Amino acid sequence: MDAAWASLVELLPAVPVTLRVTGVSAALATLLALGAGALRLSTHRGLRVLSGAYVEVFRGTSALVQIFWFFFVLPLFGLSLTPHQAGIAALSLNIGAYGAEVVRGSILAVPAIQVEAAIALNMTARQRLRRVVIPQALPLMIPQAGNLAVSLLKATSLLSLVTIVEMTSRAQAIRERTGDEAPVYGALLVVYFILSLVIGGVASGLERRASRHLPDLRRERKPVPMEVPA
Amino acid sequence: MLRNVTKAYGAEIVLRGLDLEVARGERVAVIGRSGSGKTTLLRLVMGLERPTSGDIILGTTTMWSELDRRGQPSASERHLRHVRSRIGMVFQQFNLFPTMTARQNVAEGPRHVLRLSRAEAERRASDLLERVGLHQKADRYPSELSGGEQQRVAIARALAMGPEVMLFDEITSALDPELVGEVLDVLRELAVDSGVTMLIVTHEIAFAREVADRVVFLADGEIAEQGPPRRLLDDPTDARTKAFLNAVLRR
Amino acid sequence: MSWDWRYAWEIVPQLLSGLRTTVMVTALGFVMALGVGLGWAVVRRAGTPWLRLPATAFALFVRGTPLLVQLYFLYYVLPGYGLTLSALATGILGLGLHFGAYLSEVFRAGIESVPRAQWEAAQALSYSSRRTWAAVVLPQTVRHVLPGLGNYLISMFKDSALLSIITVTELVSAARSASGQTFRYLEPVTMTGVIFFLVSYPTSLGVRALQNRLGVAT
Repeated sequence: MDAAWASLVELLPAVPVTLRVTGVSAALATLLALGAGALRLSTHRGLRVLSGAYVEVFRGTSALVQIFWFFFVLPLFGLSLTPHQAGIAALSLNIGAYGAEVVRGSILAVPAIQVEAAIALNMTARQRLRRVVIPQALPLMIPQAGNLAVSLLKATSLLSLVTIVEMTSRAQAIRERTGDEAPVYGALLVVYFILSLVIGGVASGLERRASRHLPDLRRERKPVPMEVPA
Repeated sequence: MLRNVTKAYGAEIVLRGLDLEVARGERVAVIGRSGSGKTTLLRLVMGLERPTSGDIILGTTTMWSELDRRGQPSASERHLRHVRSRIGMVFQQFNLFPTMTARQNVAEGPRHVLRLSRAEAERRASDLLERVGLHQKADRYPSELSGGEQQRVAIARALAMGPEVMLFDEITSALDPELVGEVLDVLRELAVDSGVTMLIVTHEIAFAREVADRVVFLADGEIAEQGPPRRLLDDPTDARTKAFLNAVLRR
Repeated sequence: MSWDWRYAWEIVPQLLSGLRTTVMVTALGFVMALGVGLGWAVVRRAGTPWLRLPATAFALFVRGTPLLVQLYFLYYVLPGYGLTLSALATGILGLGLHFGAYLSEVFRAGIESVPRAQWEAAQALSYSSRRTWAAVVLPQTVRHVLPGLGNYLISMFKDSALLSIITVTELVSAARSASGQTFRYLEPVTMTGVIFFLVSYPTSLGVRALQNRLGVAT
């Protein structure tokens, strides 16, 4: 038990690294998700296909393979990224693809009649999106975005395999030094767990605020969020 | 003058070669069984659907002014918006934007589409809300209003755009019976006070008899019969009209 | 850097044998996850409160921590407790537990979608608890549960890549050993990605088609 506490304390310096990587990737992924999600619904066929290809490719291949690809293969094309940059790029693109589907699904879930009422008021497409559709899509997006954020947090552990010093690689180092596995990995699991709970809590709070005035009828239709494992 | 000459065919033939002319300021009630094409008719007038063939004309302006590659009626988004700005529509349910208060809902169009100043838009909203009797609840959210109140706000919202024509798609059908009256009162007042042309799809036969200048009975995608309410409702000539009215009035 | 088709062709057999292991691991892991997940869901729903809360908390814990770390934990810690499994078995165990936690959520949602009236009808007919579950509730959850299960199967297939880290010789480790021998990364890594895609994309289309036919939202 003491060993566990000791390990926990030793892991702490690595927590900011994990958080930073998670945060930056999350921000990039959000931009990608909003962009790709909107493009998937575009009236322009080429844009739809292009964003669709991005989404399917990055959802259809393993995150680990993507990380390896960015780390080992991309430099061969002359693009030299630091390990951090490669890792963040891979994770952002991966989670962004899942996010794009969340965005698309949520926008489609807004009842058609709301869009028609907006058309009846003669709003332009952009006005409709901004003032009517997105405020109503947001409560649907947030819990799923929260799940994706937790997935992102967990995926940062994979970066330990490409020389980035975050929590998992720090734990490896401690383990190699002390030779004691259970406390280290146990402590590591606990830290991840606490962080994932925090993210989940934030997401719940945001969701409550965003769905303040929406009828409960809408909330019952909320689909079971699909969580992305690993 | 609003002339609506439509020959419209949907995916299955929903409306066949339908011709309907409505005079400016006239109040027309449209009745018929579900599936007879009533809602489609309104949606075509509003430009939410495209006719397979035929014309929809508002005054002197044709709504679908072009033909697309397949020779079907088409129009640019700008043209459609231009025409639509003269028409207002109230739907059967879930009209209002849930993230905005009643006042914000009514002011939304004037402010962002007509580009009035915020003060002006809000003043217009207040006036209209008062007209439909909901001034005290102006700052409530739709989820806090009853169905009847929501529909009244929806009417105010449509009126806020200053349309020449108002379309009502069975606006009382989804309401609990005790709430229907307040909405019909507002419609009645509108019919009397304003010079707005009204096209009302409804199940409320008694209301149609009282308020409408003309009643149109739709069956199987065409106008089976039309005429002044008294005549059509008390003394219908077409067999389908008779059958329909018998079934309805027996209730 | 240019693509060497000859080399790419050479390593195909190696990759395919790795793929075989991947498929096997995924299949076994999924079967285990099904059992674990279903049992978990039933306990969370029908067990005594003493069982229910820890079960729910534990599921939350497993879902909230990385699979990689869980694999490390099992791989390094279990032998200390006298349970020395092969890397393969450890990998399957890890996948089964991790995804079991996710599947328990899917099953839970499926169970909750069965209308209360069904439970009450079974009660009125004096069905035993076991009979209620087996004959009434579970059959009705199948429809709701299938798309979710399909999606997680695909996820597991992709995440099996992590097993390469604990020395299981599946697809990714085949790629790494190929590139380790020749120091060429381009072809092995890219082709691994392609193989993953070629398996998971059609499967995901199938799951989506299934979802449409069942008329259920995920």
